[in-house]
Amino acid sequence: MPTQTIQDLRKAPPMGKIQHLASLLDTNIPKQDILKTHIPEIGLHVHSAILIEIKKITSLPNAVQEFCKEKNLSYKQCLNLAHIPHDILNTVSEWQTTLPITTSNFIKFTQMLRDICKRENTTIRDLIKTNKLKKENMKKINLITLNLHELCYPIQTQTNMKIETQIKDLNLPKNIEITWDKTLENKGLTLKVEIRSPQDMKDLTEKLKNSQIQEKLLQALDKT
Amino acid sequence: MSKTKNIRDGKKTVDALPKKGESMDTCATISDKYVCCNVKVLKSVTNCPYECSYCFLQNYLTNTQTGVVTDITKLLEEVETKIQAEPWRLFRIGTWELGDSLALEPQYAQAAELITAFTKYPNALLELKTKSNKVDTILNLDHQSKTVVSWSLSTEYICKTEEHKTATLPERLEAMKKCTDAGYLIGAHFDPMIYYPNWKQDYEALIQEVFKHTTPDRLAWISIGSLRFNPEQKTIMENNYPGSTLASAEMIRGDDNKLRYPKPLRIEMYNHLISCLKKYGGPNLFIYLCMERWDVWEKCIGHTPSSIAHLDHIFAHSLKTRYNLGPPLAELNQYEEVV
Repeated sequence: MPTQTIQDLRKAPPMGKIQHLASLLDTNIPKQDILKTHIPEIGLHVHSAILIEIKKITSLPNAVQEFCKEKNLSYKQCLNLAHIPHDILNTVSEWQTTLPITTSNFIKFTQMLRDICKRENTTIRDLIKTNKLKKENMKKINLITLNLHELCYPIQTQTNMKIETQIKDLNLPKNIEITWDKTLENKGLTLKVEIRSPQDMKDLTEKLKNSQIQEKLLQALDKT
Repeated sequence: MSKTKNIRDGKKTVDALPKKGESMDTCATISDKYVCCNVKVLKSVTNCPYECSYCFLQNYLTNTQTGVVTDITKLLEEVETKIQAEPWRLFRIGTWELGDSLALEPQYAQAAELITAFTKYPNALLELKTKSNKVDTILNLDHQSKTVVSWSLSTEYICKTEEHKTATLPERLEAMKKCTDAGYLIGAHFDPMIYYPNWKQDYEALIQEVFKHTTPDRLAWISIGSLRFNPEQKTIMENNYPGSTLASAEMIRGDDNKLRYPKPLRIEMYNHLISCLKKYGGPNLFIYLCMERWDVWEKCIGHTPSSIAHLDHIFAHSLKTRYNLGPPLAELNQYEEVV
């Protein structure tokens, strides 16, 4: 192989290198030569499963392979995508034709969908068919994110919604803000109060003295 | 000796290893955000022949070659030096952190030597934790109840689907019965508790079975913990065990950077298990949570240790009053000074 080609390959994105090696695997070149010479010379690390991994990565849908090349995804990122079912990859690739999905969102969406489908023993097609993944949400990235988050984290979503409702029911003035750890891991509510006048102070003390409000706050606290 | 990196390659053969560096340490999972029981670990084995899909060794070992430290005299010298430095304190020392305590016992008889040695230590208990049933060679030893033989217990469904090559649940329970009959104290670790559609019924069935094979008075301790692992391990699990659904569960990232089930689910699971334990084992069991939040302790156990040292002290108190094990119970502040 001409030196220039090897130099080009050394500079190529990992997916380019992987595709090159896959094409060598389709020739008569002995696998031992590929392992000993071809892989190291283009700057990939040789390990026991690399030939199987190359085959797996190059079986990714063409659009995804192109995406990996264009976005210069690492070998590990390409391999991780290769473990995601093709129907999921194809759907997110399809969204990408109309939406500006970043690399991190592409990876996040495919991984979330993989988790949801695997956990519920279902397919993306069924998620859409049953309207769990709503067609109208697929027009905007933030709506996709929200929809997927709800499906991927149902316990957190529902618990946070209950806390939100309880806090809304308090009818607190706008200068009192209550926040909490949305992962629900750290117990507690944080009250942020903006006091601009003696009246604000008076309102605050009255609110906090109210036993009904105290009760509701404790109920919300119990859920954190 | 060259390093093996792939976890499965490392399971193919077993090396007899010399003792290298410090072998006795505090359990690696210690974190101030979660309550830790302050058990000490003796790194006497590394990697194990079993293949649990959730095993943290997949992401922890830099050299995956399975090995057993055969230089037991040196291991024990280190243990003796450390326990003699704090003679007032009761040490619980486990050999299970980097592997299974008994999986390789028929070939190496390491545990047998440790069991015998620990009978001479007034302020230390040995804990052997296993998913095996390889107990026959330790049954006739003069252990003097200074060793707790523990099992990592999962429902039959999880044993079959996620704990590959381990002893089956009936085999583990049969071995537990043999050890109970041989006078050993027993430990039961329901850790990791794993969520799946039939978890409730299956965990109740598991607890029923446990109390058919041992008695509440021989159960020195029972731990409960939920499935947890580093984010990097999620990908490793997905790649190593593509058929497993464990890594796809709803999880949050805790303050110790580990992924675990969301707190409401953990609380529900622990409360169910604890109610089953009390239903079949009575009210006097010593139950603790492994690596859990202080408020989860409050909701599930009904109290919270004030510190890691406090939990260590609670263990010492329980073992002293129930089995007269260990030195006279030291004050809590002595424990707090060293932990």
